[in-house]
Amino acid sequence: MTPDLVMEILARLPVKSLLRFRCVSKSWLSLIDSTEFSLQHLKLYNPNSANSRLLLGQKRIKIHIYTLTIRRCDTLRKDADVATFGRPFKVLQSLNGLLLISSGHRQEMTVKLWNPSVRKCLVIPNCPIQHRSYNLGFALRSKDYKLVAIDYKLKTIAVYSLNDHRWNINPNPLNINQVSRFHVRPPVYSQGVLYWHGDIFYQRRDIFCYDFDVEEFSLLPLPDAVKKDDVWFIFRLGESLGVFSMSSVATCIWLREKNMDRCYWSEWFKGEPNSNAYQQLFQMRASSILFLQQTNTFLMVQKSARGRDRVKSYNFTTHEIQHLGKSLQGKLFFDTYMENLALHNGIDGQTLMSFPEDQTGNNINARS
Amino acid sequence: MASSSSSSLSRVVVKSSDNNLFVVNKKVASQSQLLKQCIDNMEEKGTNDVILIPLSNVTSNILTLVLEYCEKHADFADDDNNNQELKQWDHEFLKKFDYATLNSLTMAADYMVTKSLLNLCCQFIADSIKDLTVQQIRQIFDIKNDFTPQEEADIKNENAWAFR
Repeated sequence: MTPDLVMEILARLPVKSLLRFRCVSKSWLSLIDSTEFSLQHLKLYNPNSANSRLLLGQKRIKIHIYTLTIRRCDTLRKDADVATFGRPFKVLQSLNGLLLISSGHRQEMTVKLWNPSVRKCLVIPNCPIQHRSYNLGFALRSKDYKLVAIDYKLKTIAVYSLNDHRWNINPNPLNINQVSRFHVRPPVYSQGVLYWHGDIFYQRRDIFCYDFDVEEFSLLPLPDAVKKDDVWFIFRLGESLGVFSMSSVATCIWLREKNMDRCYWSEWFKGEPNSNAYQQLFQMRASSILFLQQTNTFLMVQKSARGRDRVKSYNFTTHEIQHLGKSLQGKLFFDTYMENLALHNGIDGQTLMSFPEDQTGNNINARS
Repeated sequence: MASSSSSSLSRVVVKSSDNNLFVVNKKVASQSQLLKQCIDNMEEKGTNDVILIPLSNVTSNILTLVLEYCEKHADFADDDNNNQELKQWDHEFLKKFDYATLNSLTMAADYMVTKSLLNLCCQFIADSIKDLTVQQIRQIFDIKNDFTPQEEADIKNENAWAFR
């Protein structure tokens, strides 16, 4: 069999099998450890609908325990435990199955990049700027995971590159004056760019963008049809950025598409509006939104002030809104669970920690 | 898209590496981009002769299987891709074969540019090898272990949990 075909087959395997098959031969080892393979695996293994699962974080109020579990997308039924943390622990961001986490108390708080599927994590060096918010992304051209910390007061950013394992300060990057720091929910990552929008008091119809390759900000106007009185939000659909909107006339989904060098909004779905769904979506303070293409459904975490978050599913064709996982308590976080080989082989000159330590999280790949 | 020009071919003859001839109708042959390309080229030249396409890399055993797949998929060509009956058939089709046959079929699908069969084979092989041991993998793919025992133990230790 040719190396290309071996790659086609191996790229469809779960991470646990791949970590084992590194032992097969020298050529398999160098294939599995290559960046090219790791990216191909991310593309081929994860979209397979049989593997579609959710990573759900749950922080119970009063008892300081943070649990991470893998769950089915449709029913939120538990598939496997990932880990339980007793110390102050927080998931700051997630991308392609990697989690940016912080742990420890304020003085000795460390930020780590953790890949639960390979059970390893990397301690990120201290960020050189203050007043920061962290955002994780992947730069397509340099094939590099990057972390951008933004200081909105001083109009400065610092960018951490995983390939270089260090921070670089970039004072006054292009358009930083125009972006707003206030956002209602985590930014949406798509194709090397991070997108977010201002809170409901922000009147302009723009989406803010940060490009991880050029390390600059820009503004992206919403589709013309989205009006001020619409309910709207952005989300990720496959590899693309999507905008959902509902007005008194229609329910629409637009996709940001690229043809040659031209980018444009194309209408992907148009249907009837629904006043009940409009009211509920308008009042729901969704803190994260996931799109599940197989079922035409959005999964949303509805924030509550007292840390009693709820998971709601909204079907945009039937306008049915359901409360899922009724037994879940506390502050919730979720994202698509993805298996990713990144970090498994360490990075130059850095040793990675096994994380969580071996006694916990033994079930992570229980299903594989 | 069926061409309505007067030079349109209805059948082609495909020759396997062991010199057996297979008469294949155009709709079936079009499932393979390699065969489709040959047909399109001939039609552009305006020939009315039945064309012969030699496949130097595919034995008649394997070619029979590829053509069986193409025939079934040609029947469903106008349906959407998510046809459950077709999916079921695909699974039953591959289930019968041993690894050696699956490997040859995968290589033939690659050579004949039958993307859907290639994807199907790769996914099927992946699903069936994911729980195997390193030793079993070496046997199936006929791979020689070129690590020293120490090297192998070191690699294993990097991710001991994956071997449990």
